[in-house]
Amino acid sequence: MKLEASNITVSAHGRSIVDGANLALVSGELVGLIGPNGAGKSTLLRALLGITRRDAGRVTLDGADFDAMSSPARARAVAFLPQERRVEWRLTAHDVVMLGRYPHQAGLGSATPADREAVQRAIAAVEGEDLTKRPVSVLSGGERTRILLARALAVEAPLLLTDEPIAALDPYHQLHVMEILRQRARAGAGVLAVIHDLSLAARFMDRLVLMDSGRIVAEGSPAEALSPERLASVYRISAVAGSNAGAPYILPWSRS
Amino acid sequence: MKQSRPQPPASGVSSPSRHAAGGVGPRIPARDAARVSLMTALFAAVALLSLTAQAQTKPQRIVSMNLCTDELLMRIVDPSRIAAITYLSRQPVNAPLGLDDISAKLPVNHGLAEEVIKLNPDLILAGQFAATTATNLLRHLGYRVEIFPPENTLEDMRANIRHLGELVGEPARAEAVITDFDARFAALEAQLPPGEKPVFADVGVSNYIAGSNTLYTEIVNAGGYRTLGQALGFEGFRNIPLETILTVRPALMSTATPWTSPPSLSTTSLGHPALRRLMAATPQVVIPERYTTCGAPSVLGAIEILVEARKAGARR
Amino acid sequence: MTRPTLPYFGLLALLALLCVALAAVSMMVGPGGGPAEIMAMIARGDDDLAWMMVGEVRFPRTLLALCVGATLGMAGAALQGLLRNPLADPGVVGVSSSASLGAVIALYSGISMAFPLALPLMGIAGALASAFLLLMLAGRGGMLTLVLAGVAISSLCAALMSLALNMSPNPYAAAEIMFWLMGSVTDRSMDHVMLAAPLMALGAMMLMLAARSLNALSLGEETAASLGVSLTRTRALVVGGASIGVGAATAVCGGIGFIGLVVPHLLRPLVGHTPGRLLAASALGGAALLMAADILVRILPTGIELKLGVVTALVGAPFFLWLIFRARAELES
Repeated sequence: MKLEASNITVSAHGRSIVDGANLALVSGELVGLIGPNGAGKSTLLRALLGITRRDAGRVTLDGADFDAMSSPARARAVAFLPQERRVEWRLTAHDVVMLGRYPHQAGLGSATPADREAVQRAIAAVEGEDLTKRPVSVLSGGERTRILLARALAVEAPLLLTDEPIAALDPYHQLHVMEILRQRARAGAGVLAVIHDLSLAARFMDRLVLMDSGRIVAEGSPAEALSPERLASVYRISAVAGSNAGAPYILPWSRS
Repeated sequence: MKQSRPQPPASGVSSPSRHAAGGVGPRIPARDAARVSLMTALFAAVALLSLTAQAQTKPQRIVSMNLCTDELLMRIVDPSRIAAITYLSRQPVNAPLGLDDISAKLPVNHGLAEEVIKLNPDLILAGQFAATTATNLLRHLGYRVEIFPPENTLEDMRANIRHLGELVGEPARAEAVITDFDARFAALEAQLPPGEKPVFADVGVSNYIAGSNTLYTEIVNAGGYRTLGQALGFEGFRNIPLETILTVRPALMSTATPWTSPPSLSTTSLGHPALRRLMAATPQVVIPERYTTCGAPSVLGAIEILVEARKAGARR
Repeated sequence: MTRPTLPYFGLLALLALLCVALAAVSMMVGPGGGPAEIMAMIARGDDDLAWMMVGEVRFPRTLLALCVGATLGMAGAALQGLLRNPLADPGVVGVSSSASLGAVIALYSGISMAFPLALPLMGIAGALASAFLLLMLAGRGGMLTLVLAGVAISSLCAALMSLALNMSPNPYAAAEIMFWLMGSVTDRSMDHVMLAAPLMALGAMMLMLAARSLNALSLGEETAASLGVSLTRTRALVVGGASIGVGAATAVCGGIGFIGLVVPHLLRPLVGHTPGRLLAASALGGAALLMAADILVRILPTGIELKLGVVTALVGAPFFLWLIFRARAELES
């Protein structure tokens, strides 16, 4: 499955937020969308999904026009995990994850056995079995993120887009979430994550897309996308790079 | 309370000053003319004083600001002494019984102080509850305002008529009005068939019903019926739920009259299917509301309608 | 969904049973008397009066309390689900005031005399006009904009109602509308039921169509959109359905408040906090609560008729205060 976006342009109040961005996502890869604050990463994601209005650009799914597809079909093809962590109502973790089956349900929406199994698989993937009966509102940040991620996984869509999945998480949960995403990609899904942590991006992602001021300025392996020149020009920092057990790491060190 | 203001003499009383000025007559020697002039002037002054005193006991420019005092006034006092009645009495729906030719010719007021002042009254009659700001202002300005409490019984009515007779200086006419009323009243009573009084259900807007201890009920009783409120056993006026109305079978019914227009929420209560069904199954009368609004001789109009209905019912 | 302590259909059955029981009690209570008095009326030959009383006055009253209560309960639950706020109530979108305005205009201009359907239809028209205005004002704004627009519309309608009453030639107009705004099902007839019930049913249907979307909305608008929920469609169904249903209810019964606030709040824990399931449960709960209030109105020995809206307000307002008190920590977060 291939999601392809070309020439995405979004502007608001006369300001250009995303300017002619091209992006592609295929099954089986974990892609990181990185860039400084205000680069337009979240907007690009939303424009892709049609949540934010586009001024220009086209999105295709395996060549077919994505916008022309019905809402349930789109929802079944691409799952989205926004930054929003708030869950209204005192729903249990299980109920929240079950909401991920919405695109597969119709009519009065009773849960089928297939739905229940999908929910179980999703909860297992995030190791959230002991959280199922508890209300989401009382869970810690890390637990809640995992449950919301399970909700997105429960859709069992071939493509998954997430916006800052590891924001405000402690290192344990950051690593856990990255592992889940990578595992998902290995299992055959195409996963795109907007991410700020350069080290984790370098370590876990197959491919990085670097955005600056609304434009895609670099794309490729972590070494290519996050070369010292790029770090200086886009992030205005210098970093210490290295590798550990075969995986690269990048530590932002000073402002340049 | 301040006395009435000095009034210009009403028509029919010649001006004494014209005589004192000496106008037409035989020539008299100057010395005697002066003495005659002085005596004429003195005589004129005394006459003027006594006339003014009479004018103070017999008001000549009476204004009525209340529908009920309108009627009493028109029955007791000569139209020439009525400066104005309320505009309500000129409306066909509010016409008092048998006074159309009189009320048609009289000026009207709308209960506003300015209008009344322009009429220069020497006596103002007002009800207890209406236009109180106007009456307070008029009193404050020094006019003579007499308040008439609403009549709760026919005896109150007689008392009010007598009181008005005293105020306007026509006690004899007042008694005559009462005597005439009593005679006609007795004549109507005599026509009533014997037996227990059946129930007359007069349903007003929002199911407004009259109970005992009201003028309305006394009128209906005189007409040979009991009111629905009496049958249900309460005093005064009340809004009654429709269910309660339906527990009593009436022998005669009436529903709200011209005051149902202009339309309002309360008139919708009269459209209820159950009430309409009951009305369809019961003999109906229409009693002009005017006949029961005031404790005044017009109540005879209402009593007559009810007595006729009672007689018709007895024949059936 | 997880099994709540009480299975969902078990809860619905229980509430339905409660409604049936209250309806039965409602038919046996009234100013005309209880079963004994009615039997006495039949015995003395006044059976036609008894039938009129029970069939044409008491039965419509019960039916109306049931339908209006259901409409208000469901509309409240739906609006709380849409606005993702437990303090929402049909009044928040200005529906009751605009329906009242429509009815006031119909009454005092005399249009209602022209043909009997005019009054409820004008009430609906008022409600729909405000719904349209609301959706225009709120546009693509968020829920806060929606609420503020609703408040603005309520104020506008109240001002226009005052104007209509000021201009009415009927001297009792102001007092009447004050009583009417207190809400009542007293002395309504089957005509009222026939006119309002189909519209209330239509409103309920529209709300039920949005039930599933409300579940997805718990996760926020963006997640719901990504799951395939059409936000415009959901908004239109909820605001439109609430307007039609509550508009019809207000047009025949006046303003009855707090049912839409209290009932969903009470029942939410029993349906596992799921907004979609809350709709049907709130309908039954609202019907039960309003019938109970109407029974109370008839058995309390106050001399003057106690208005239904007054009872619901006396129960609902303190409850609302308590709600805010309890929820203030969450509201501030």
